[in-house]
Amino acid sequence: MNCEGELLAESAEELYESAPVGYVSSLVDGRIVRVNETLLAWTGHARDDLVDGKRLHDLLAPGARIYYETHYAPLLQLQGSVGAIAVEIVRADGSRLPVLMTSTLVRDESGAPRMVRTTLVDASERRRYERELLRARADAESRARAVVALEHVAEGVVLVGDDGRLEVVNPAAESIFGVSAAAVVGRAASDALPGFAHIAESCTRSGVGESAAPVVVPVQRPDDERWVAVAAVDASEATVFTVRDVTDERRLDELRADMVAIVSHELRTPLTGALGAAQTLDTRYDALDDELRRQLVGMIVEQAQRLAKILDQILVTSQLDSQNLRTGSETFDVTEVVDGVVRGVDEGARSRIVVSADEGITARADLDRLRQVVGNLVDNALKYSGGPVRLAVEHREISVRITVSDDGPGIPAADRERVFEKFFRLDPSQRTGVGGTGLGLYIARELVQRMGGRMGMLARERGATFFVDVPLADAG
Amino acid sequence: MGVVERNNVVVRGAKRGQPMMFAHGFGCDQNMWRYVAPAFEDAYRVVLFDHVGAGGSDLAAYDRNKYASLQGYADDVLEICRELELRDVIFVGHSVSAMIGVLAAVKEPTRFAKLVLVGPSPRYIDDGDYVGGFSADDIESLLEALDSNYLGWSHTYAPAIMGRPDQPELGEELTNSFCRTDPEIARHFARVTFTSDNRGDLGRVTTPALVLQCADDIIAPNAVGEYVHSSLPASEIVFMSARGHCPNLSAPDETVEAIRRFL
Repeated sequence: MNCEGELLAESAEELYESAPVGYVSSLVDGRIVRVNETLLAWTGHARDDLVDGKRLHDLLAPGARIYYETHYAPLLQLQGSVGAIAVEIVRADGSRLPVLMTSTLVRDESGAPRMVRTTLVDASERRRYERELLRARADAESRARAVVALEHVAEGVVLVGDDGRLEVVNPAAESIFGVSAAAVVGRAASDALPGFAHIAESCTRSGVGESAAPVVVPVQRPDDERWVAVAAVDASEATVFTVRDVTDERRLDELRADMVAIVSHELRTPLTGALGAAQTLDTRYDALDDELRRQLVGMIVEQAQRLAKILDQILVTSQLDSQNLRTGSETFDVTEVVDGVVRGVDEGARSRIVVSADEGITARADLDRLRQVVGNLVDNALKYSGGPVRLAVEHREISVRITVSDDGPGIPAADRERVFEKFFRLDPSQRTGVGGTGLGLYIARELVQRMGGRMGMLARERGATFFVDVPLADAG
Repeated sequence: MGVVERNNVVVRGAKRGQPMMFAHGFGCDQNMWRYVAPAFEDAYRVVLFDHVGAGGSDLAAYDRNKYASLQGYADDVLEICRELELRDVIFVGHSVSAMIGVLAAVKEPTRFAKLVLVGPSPRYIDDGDYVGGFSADDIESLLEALDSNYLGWSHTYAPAIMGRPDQPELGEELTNSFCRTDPEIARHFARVTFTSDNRGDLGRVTTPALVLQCADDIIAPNAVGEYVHSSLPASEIVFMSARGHCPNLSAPDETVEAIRRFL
């Protein structure tokens, strides 16, 4: 061998021994015949421990050994090579080293397997990355679940960066503010969300974990106004606003306040009247003549009846609210209703009622309640207009329609549905009599609905026209 | 999907010959028999198949409940026999499939003429005086090894890896084209296999059986082979000179010869 050849052989030898990978040559049955220095350094084994004494799989950790026997060795036989399989090898001191193992089957000239060359690459770093990758994946999965929660939570959640720009607007917040997240995220919150400038001013930000007291503020949307309760919590370089739509709760509160005001007013008026008359009788009884006494007693009776009627309305309303009111179901000729209503009207006003009724219609409903409902409609019509009041009965496909119409001032189109709301009143200056509680029409519609019918107003150029539909007796 | 498609059943050899069914073990598929099965094709009707979850089987048929025990796989073997109307079957099972064959023969003894058990183990984990060769921790570390190696193979990652030269795992997938299995299934099959205990079934086998025991088989050591032999009422044992767990690949001639002598 010449000098150059010697150098080449020496450097090849050096490369083999000190390459940054482990080399193992083994026989087909696994017995190790040669290893390089790198592998010995990695494992802490002495060369004599391995060569001609151990087999390749003896270097492996138990799990890797099973993997080697069930996957690696068969693959090597079938394919002639196996690439970069992650396994652990056991060092002399018992500790483990993750490696990537690649083997090639070397065949003799006849094609029969002669030996196996195996390369081992230190995979500690790769193992660390793998673990990080798995952790990151688990983390990403759990974050994805958090996003799902945010998407479905009933409260609006808005994340505003310290620069005032919107970072997150969840679906509930989109609906409360009437915006789409796609259109507003990235824009200044005070420009993009209606009323947000006011919200940001009103809220005091609390730290994480502190309980933030929400403030209630109005939000003016394109079509309507909503009331929201907002709380703000400082997050990292941002503020989280949780927004709850409290419009309905507020409406309920207002309703409750209305009820107290109306009821106390409506009770006070007749009570004052009755009390005044009673006091006059009490203190000046002897000075009054019979006629005056009769008038005062009549006043007490009238006001007491009015009181009783209001209390009755309140009672029925509360029964309706608690679903405790039952309506009867009987079969009757509708003329019974018409006759009863007309008979109930004062003789003086009776001539103003114009009846036009189809004959022989039988309905199925609560006769007394229906008579009461229609009677109230007729009373109101007589009260609000000086002219004729038409009471009509009409046979329809599966129901009978009773219509009460007058030529009075009518009800503005916008209020035709609202008159059936609890405590709703038209301009109070027009208000007379017992209709003042704003409960009459509410109760009437509720009762009709419980009889299986419906009630409403028809659009007419003049006056007011109410209708009540109840089922025909033979409508099934 | 029928049984034949479900288990990727391949039938070769003598059409009227006695059926000889080859079952692969954990970690591979019917390729395991490519050097052994052809030797029997002249005289026998050779039936090869993949267990559900392995090789060319129908992955959609994988049912975690059915395959929660080896009995699920044994039932598949019987279904294949029924479907192909196989009688007097010589069942050759490698590794875990040796026990799958035992379970099938216990359930339908008349179906089988002979059992050839290559590297059988009725229980891999040590238990009192019984030496299976492994501890429960060893099995956990096998599952870890499986996870590490499937991380790059998993279909979840494959699309992200496609066409990325800096991710060698894709090359791996193409290189290691034999014996591919779905990672989740492989994990489950590994757990079912290595936690199985079928020692009690051995005594119920009435079919004549041959145990092929390799030297230096760490999966099924000599003591285990001897245990199987002594527990099977009608069995022979042959100690092969082949080393390791897969004589069907590493020493096909010796394997064929041993089976021939038994038949």
